Amino acid sequence: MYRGGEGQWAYYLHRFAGALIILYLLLHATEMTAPVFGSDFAAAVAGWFRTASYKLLQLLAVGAIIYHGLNGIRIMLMDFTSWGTRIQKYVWYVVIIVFFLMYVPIVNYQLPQILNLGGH
Amino acid sequence: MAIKTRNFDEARRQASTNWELIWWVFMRVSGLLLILLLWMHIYIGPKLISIKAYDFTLLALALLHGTNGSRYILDDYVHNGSLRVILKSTLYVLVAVLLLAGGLFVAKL
Repeated sequence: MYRGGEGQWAYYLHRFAGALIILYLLLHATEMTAPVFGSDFAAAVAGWFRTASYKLLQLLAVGAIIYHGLNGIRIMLMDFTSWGTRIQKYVWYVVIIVFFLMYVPIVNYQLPQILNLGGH
Repeated sequence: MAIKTRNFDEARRQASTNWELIWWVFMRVSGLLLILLLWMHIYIGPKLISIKAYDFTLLALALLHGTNGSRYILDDYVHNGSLRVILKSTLYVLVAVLLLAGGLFVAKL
């Protein structure tokens, strides 16, 4: 339906990012509400939420959220303005540039801290 | 079936049911709200924002937006009917439990 090109990439990345976000959200909501399921459960899972693997997933999810949100604005421009679809290709490049401007500093700040956690 | 279109008038024509159109609108409205709420959540920090209504609104909007998005994805890519029902049911139960847990957690704060 998008005949290839930028719109197609934007669409698949949007879905992939969304799937990653809901996976992270289910874990994050479990993490935050763990005490509701009993103190035994909270104690049992608390350690895992401090591991490098979970922090890495969190860092990936932050990137996914930034892309999904920026591209979401692009989608709303297409849906609710008369000109959004005409320039969607260029808006996607803006999305990608803004994504890197926002995400690179976060990775730069967070990744060394996560790697310092080691494989625990 | 999920609506695949690029404006509200087309969405209204394509919608197989009223509910499908309501979800289409919900994805846009909640998406815009989530950008604002998540920006506060990530950059200002959860410790500074411990308002019950804020926390629960964020959780509920994110879970509903994510569940409906997952429904679109499962409908599009899982062609085995019974597997699709199993995956969707599991997702809905999980989300219902987490919404309830979030509500209980916020109520106790």
